Amino acid sequence: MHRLPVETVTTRLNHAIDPSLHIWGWEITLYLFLGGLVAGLLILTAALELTRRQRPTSAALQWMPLVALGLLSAGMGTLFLDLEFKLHVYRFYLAFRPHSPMSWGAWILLLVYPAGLLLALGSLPETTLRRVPLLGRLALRIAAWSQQNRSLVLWTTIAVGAGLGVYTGLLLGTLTARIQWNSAVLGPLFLTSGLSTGAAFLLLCKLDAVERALLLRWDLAAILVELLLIAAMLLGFASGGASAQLAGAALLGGPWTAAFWSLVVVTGLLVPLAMELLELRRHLPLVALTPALVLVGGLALRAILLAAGQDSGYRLLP
Amino acid sequence: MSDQSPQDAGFWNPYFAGFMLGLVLLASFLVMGNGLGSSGAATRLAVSAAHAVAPQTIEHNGYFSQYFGPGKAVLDDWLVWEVLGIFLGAAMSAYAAGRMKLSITRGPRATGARRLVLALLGGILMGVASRIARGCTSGQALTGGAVLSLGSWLFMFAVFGGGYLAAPLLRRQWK
Amino acid sequence: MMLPLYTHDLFGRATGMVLGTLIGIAFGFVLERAGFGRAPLLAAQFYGTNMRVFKVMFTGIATCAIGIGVLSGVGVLDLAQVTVPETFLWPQVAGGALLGVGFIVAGYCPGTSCAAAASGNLDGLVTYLGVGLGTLLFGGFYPWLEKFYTSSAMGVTRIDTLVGVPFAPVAVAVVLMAVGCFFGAEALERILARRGQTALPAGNLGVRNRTFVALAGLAVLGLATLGWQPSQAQEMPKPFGYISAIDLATRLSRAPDTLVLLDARPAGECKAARLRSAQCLTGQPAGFVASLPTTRQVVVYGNADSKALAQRLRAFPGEVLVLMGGYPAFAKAVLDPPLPPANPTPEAVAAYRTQSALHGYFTGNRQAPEPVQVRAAPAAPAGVSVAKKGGGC
Repeated sequence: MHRLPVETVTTRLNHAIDPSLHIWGWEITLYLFLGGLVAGLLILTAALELTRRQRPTSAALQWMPLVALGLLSAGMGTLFLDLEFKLHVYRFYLAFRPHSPMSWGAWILLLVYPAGLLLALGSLPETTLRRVPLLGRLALRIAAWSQQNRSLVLWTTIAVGAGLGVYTGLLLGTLTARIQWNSAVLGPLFLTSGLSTGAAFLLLCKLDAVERALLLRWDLAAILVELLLIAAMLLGFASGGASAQLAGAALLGGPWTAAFWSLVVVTGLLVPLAMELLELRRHLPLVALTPALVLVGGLALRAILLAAGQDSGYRLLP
Repeated sequence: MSDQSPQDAGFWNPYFAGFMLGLVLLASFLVMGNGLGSSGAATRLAVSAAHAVAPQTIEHNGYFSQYFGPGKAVLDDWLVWEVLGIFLGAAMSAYAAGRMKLSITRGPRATGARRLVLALLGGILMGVASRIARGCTSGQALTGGAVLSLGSWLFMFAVFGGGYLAAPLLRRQWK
Repeated sequence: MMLPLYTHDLFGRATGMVLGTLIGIAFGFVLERAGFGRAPLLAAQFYGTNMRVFKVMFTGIATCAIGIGVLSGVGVLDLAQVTVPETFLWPQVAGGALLGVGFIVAGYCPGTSCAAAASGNLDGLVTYLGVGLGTLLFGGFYPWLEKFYTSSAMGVTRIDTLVGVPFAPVAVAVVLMAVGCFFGAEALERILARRGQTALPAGNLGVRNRTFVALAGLAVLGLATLGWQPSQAQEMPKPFGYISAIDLATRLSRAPDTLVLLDARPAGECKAARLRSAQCLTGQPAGFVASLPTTRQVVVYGNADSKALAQRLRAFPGEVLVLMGGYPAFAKAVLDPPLPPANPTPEAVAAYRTQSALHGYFTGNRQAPEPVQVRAAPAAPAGVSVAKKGGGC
């Protein structure tokens, strides 16, 4: 009946860990969101080309890999802001530790850039590439290679993108002391949310009708899968041990209930789902609000899970 | 369910809409024990925005200090979530009816800029008024009216009185 | 009394807020469908050409009022648990008039401006921003407004209690008045349309009449509830007493066999931690309550005081006690280690010893209570007490 501290004494010596973890703020939220978004953008851009079997015609899609890399750089900028020892970044790349998701992440982030660049060079029109200062001829040569080995480039992009998306979730999952993050579902959940936010971002751009219709269907599927994964996460918490049940309680009647259900599930998933179904059924024109709600929901998902996770801990177990 | 006159086109019959409104309000009473509202959320949103800019001034204000203290969060309130719901519900309704469009609704002779200035001005007036009266047309007239609160009924008559008194001055805006 | 639902400990505060979002969605949907997202349509109310605002609002109020009247009349809804806005006579009249002026200037009221913003109308968004700014302005002028703001306070004043009749007949009067006013409003619309050579706001007569019939039906039901009194006697609330946490702990330690302990909190919380020897009430089969031994007193507790707790034991013919403050109060008083009193008067020390003993009994923590120095109460002068003692000899 009594709440006794279970955590070891050592964690108590760190002021940022006790009584609750508060070392990760908006920087990490934004980084996780942008990471997922970029993963979604890269996968969807490549998947659209694979499905249509032709290079993208709309300018938005041709430039999208580069836009994605820009967003990723912004995200890594916020991650860098969060680092305590900013000059030690290079140490990530002195070793590869297969058991550390942070190490995986550092290397995946490094792989995303060449993959995105190859994808972009292969889809941008030659006239644009010719105008690249100084490196125009090199760009054209790489573009030619990228087009000859198109399916390799596309599948590599998809694989690297999926790695990026899953890693943003697994990163949290390995911090086992935060019981809220002890769920294997987080990786796929963040990947699916990334796909959904990526589709929403693309839907806000100027696309042709076929691309729009495909993305709309994929976004619907991603939202449905995301709902299932959230249900799986909550069921896992509810049917798990004492620590999992405590983690679930924060979202099922606890302090994060209102934000999680109202912002993530209703605003970010159910309402866009209803509006996209309406769009599909009744051929209504797209409004910017639907994708905007999906983006808000994706951001809220990361922010709430991050905050709730930092609040949680074994010390709260009865 | 819809009417045919140009201004009314596409909307529900007012009596049917009122009946549905009454059922929603009743559901709110039956589940939560309290009615609907909307200006309270505007207050909380404005206070939390102002608090981000000037925390000391807001926390020591005689009226706003009620929103602060240990264990309190300005935005942690039923009304804030309810107003989020109003926004989502109205958006879905407008979208499904093909009415969602970025625009400025105005009378036939009013200009857009002037309309926005007056909208802001009217909003400010209503913000002050709803704090003085402890609620707006949703929180006082509708909610209090349905549970037969004396003050709410007087409030409602006063709203119509004030509106009818000021209407001739604003004829150019709307006619 | 089954309603309102929140009295039953079915959902906590946080879950209630999610329900708030869902109710808000329904509210917003209806507001938009009613045409309240269009300022010119709302403003037309004040020029008499289209009385839509009046019709929607008054129908809404009448429907809800008669609904509450019927449900409370048949004893399903506990009116005492419904929040009623307090009356501050003059502030509400003045605020209402000012809000009416703001309404015709902006073209929206605060709620409808939200619905308008959601359908893409920038003027609605600007109005709602204005409402926020206005409340800040009010806060700024609060020192000067405070006296008026708190003046003519009348507390919760309902028209039915003021007149001294049940809720339902007043609600019926509201319905009748509403329908009468609707006919008047439509006549006014017709006159102004003829004079201004404009189109009459079209209204589907069939829909209108069906709504009126529904309201009339509810009004008849409302009147019928006045004859409900005899059967209401059977629905009398279960009488119960209160027991404090310390008293309960004392009785549980001395004579546990005279009590039956029931935990009425949600099943999950009850399974996680409950009082020793308590049974979870939630999830018990039907007939469980009736089968409890009437030779014992039943003590029930939830997460807080709640009259509704005793009502869940209506089928139990014997005596029911509700634990004051519920489980948290017991945990605080008995399960948490007591602190020695800061001001150790003999009474405080005695209470501390009792609490320590109970704490030890219930938690198995047999540590002796921390020693406390007893100071005599300094209030009474020494001479007096000596004199009293002398008198006893």
